[in-house]
Amino acid sequence: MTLLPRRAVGIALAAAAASALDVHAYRLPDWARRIAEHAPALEAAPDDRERVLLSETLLSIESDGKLRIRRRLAVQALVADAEEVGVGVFHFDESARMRSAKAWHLAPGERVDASSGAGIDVTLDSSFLTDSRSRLIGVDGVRRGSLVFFEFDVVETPMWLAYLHAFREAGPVDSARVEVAAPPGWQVRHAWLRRTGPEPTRDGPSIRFELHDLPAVADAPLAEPPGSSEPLLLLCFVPPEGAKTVAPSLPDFATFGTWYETLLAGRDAPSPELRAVASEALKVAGQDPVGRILAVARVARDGIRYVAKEIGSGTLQPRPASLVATERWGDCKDKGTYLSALLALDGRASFPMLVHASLPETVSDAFPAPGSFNHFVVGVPIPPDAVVPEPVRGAVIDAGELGRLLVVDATDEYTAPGQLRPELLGKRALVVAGARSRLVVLPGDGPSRHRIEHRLEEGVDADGALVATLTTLLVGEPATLARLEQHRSAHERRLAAEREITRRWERAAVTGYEVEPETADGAFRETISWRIAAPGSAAEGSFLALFPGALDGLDRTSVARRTAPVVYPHPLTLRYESRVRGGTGSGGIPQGFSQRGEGWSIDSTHEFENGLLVSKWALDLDRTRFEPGSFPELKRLWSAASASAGHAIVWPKEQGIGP
Amino acid sequence: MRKRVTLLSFALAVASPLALAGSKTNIEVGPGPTTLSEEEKAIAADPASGIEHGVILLEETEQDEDIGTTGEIRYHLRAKILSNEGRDLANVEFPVVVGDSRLLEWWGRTLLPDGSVLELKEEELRKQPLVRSARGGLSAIRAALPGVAPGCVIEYGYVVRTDSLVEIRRVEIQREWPVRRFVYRWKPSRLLNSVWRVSRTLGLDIHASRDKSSILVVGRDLPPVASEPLMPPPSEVRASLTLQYLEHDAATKDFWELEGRRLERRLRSFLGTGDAVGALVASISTDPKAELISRLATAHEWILAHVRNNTLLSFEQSQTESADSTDAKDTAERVLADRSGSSSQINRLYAGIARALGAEANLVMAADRTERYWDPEIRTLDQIDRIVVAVRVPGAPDEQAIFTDPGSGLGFGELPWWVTGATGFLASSDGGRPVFLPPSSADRNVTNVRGTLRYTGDGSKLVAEWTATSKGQAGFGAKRALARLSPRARQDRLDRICGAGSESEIGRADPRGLDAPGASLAVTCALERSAPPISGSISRYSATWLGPWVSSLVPDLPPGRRAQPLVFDFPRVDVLELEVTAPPGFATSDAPPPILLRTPYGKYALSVEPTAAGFRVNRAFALTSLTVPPAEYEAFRGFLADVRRGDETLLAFTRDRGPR
Repeated sequence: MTLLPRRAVGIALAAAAASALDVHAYRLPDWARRIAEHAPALEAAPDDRERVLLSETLLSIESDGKLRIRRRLAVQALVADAEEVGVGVFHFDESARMRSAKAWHLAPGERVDASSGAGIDVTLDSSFLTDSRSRLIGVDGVRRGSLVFFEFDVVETPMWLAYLHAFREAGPVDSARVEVAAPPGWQVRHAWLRRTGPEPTRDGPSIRFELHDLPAVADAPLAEPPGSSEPLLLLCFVPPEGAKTVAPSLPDFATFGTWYETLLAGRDAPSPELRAVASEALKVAGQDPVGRILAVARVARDGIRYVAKEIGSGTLQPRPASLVATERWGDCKDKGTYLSALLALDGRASFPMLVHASLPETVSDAFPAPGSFNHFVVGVPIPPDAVVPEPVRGAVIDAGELGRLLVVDATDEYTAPGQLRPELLGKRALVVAGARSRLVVLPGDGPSRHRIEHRLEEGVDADGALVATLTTLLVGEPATLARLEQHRSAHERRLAAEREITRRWERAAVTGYEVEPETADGAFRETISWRIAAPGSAAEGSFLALFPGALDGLDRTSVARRTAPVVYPHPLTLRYESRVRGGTGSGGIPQGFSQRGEGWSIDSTHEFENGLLVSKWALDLDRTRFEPGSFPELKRLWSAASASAGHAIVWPKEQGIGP
Repeated sequence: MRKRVTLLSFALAVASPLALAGSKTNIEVGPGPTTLSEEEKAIAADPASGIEHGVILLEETEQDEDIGTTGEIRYHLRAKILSNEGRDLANVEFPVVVGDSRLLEWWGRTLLPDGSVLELKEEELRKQPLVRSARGGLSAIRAALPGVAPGCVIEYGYVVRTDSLVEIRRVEIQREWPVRRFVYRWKPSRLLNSVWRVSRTLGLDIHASRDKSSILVVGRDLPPVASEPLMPPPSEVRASLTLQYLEHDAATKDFWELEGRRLERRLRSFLGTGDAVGALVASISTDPKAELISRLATAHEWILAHVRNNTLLSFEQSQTESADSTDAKDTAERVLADRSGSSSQINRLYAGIARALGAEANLVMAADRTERYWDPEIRTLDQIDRIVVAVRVPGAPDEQAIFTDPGSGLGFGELPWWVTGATGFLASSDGGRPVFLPPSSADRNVTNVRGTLRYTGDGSKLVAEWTATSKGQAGFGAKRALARLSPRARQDRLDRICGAGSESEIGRADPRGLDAPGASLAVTCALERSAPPISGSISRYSATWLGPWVSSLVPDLPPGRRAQPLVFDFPRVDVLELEVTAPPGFATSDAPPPILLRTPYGKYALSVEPTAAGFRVNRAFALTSLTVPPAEYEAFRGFLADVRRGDETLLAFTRDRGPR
């Protein structure tokens, strides 16, 4: 029996809103009243559902390093059905103590209403095991023009003395500020990420960071993931020497790495189970060091079930590898440490590496902050003379005195060992090596890492039927996504592949299907064959596209009214080779095509020789980001792709070529 | 459909028919063997048969809610894991009510193929709050069974004592995985009235037995229920068990008759003395000499035109007009005075007007069939999603009744499609009766597209312009959805309707009729897309005429055995008239022969006529069936394949050599 968090949220939202009282004996607190007195006028047809008039976070550092956080939010509902504006949320974990949570509501022309009770705690985190909580506090009857004010007061015990604030709200923000009040003798360092933020203003012991007029970021297809573009403010707190604090101060990455190593100490100790696994994995691995690393990486990837776990110190500290070996489940830290233990049994050192698996630009080069990292991978030194096969070269970094490292992500069950998902590439990562810990940048991406290569062979058999075989080779991210589908249901994937053929050619009968989910070099290969009986009349002639499905990997979206950049998740190479025997002749050969733009190129050629039409098509997309000013360039790319890949011959008429 | 109730609140309720002790249904729920049987070892994946990731070997539950004022649930699951994806079944999770539930017993282990056993101890279970407030909350007990790998058997169970009851509980008997054996025993509280129901068991080895205190449902070798396109909602295709405690009126067998009378009383209360409605009828210019049905239709149109529906306000309207206060009196007089009401009020007002016109009019309770069908054996109004109106000439049988729903904004004789093709309950002063709510006929749900497709002068682009006008159900959903969107979101949706995001750039996507109740939705689109270069050596050029202007590209259904019937939203007709201009330098060649298909499921006609500039394509596709039984699946696919082949008809052009 499963209770979905979403259902729980629904219950909680309803209950939170219902907790409002409908008596009118309330007053707005002074801070809210000042905002209410100057609330902006409403637009007739707003694009956003709400507008944040104030987002304020006050951090009061207590003498023992605990953080008292007072969060205030003032929101104006811009549309009529804006009930969700009446619910305020604050995320915390079990180490935090919620002192109070309040909400006030001032609807147009009415008196002040307020929340009753302390609100409701729900678990919104999707991790299977988590101590993350969210406090919901609500007011009822929010409508267009309503002003809603929230105030949360929380005391948190940080993992270490640092804080990360993301300037992100549900709507555009008029004014956002973070204020820090530190005890005497404490230093507060800061770093801005993603944009150059203002220097703080100082008021006695407090410092204040303030931003204005932050736009809302709307979700859209082919856009950056949510949370990618908002400014981040990182804060590092350094107590005076000798101060006793509940958490360590880690003002640089060397200190952090040394501290983190204490959390890892002994976690990769060997056990009989680990020895048995390593021995089995390496039995047929040969002596090539990279081959041996990949062999144990595959075991760590496949043999340990991923279970998301975010509980207390377990958010940072892995479980012992020996336990993971027995229980055969774990999160990224567990799987990474398990991999390190297996490597150690083969006499290989390795370094834990921390990175952010989803968001860009979360790591300052000045100091570490919670939220900078959310993923654990492993850097494995490669001997200088070791030959690195081409498919894994994209995961090799130069880590200076730590040597050349092969970065292995043992968590992703669908990515080939030794390859990295695009979400990791180009990111700053921390190699944990005690005092030698250092930030590195993971290798950048390139179109050759993500390829879709088709080879289509068509001919006519003795009965006059058309027979065809299409082999598709997927490399990199396309291979990962295909493996995901394949593992979820090999049966469904096969049916989908067969349907794709019969969808394109109604009279086609699929005659063969083979799949190799992971080739030796980490690709995904799929081969499908079909036959189309000779038509009874010329009227039943079919289009035979020369490059069917060529553009399936190139997503598009409308840019007519778009204001956000179009962002592809990774560079891409598309290749197509089509060999049609007995294809065309009298109608002529399609025209070749070649076009280049900023960060892309498309070429196609067609040759007819000895009854064989050989058509080749190639698209290389180096560039992944197109700002609105570059939309004409993007449209040129799409237009060229359509025009060059749209060629077809008519079969069996053999006399024409059409779109 | 889960409601928590407090046992004590029902302490005085009438005793259940299942009140006396008995033993016929006794089962023992407890840990299974700690070794794999030979049969278990032999189970292997067979994806084509639906055995891909695992098999549930045994799922047994004993729900004893007759332990004083508390209840106890004993649960046991044993399953074989066949793939890495199947391992997630070992993520154990079960809910407990904060303060009301106590875990009394737990066992959990993984049986490995080599005979070893890995235990998960009770102290390793984690209680994770899901929702918590000062009044209580809900938590989940969670844990990951150890050592799980393909080939192993997982085995766990628990006993939870609880002070809470669930008013209605639906238990899935079939799953997406095969179930070898399913056992469920329910011993309801003797302090409450209770009913149970086993559904969708046809052709399955599922048997229910009962004694005086409990029921026992046993299923064997239950196949997985795979998801199929256009199938009924999952709740209607999987075998399930519904357990219900009855409250007050629900305890009687004539629950629906009582609810029918109650609804009729509410209607009469709403209509009051009838003076206001009578005065209105006198003022509406319906021809007294006209047939009653005609006058009913006129009154229907009047309501759509003159009573603002504040449930269906557009985004713009909702920004400037406040919704009616819930405190306002719920009377026809008030609605008429305000010329404004909710969908429900408008329907009740229409029922009153119909009566005043001399018709027989009743309210009808209907379920949203995309969620569930109305089940008279389940005694709860939670099933009812909409109240519609039945009108007829006095004394006419149900088959001649006209079902209508002015509160939906649809025209006379139309219901929202999601309540049609299913049975509802007609309310009357003597209780009521089930009635079938017929789907509207295809010819009332028509999308008519007229447009042009031409090349730019240099032949590099195709330009399409068309207007799609949809009436009846055809434009109903889109119209409601578009009206409610903010201007920016609406334009995005319209762009997509006009084909944005594929290979086209939208030049125009404008709607008409969004604000007018009962009006057709018209969307005018213009787009531009690249045309492939045509080599100078090509003498004959063939082109497709398909694109987003074809409103009904037929569904793509997979081949193979079909288990569930196909259910469409509504029968419909789509008509296209497209003027296609020849590419620059080309002239029309021979027109393809016309195509005409007639089947029990629908019709298709395609004709292509040469014109001075190119071709005129006329296409008509009618889907006249609402459902297709599994046995006719291949025949229906054959019809769709023929339609697709027709749609693939090419327009042929030859190189224009100019005057000779």
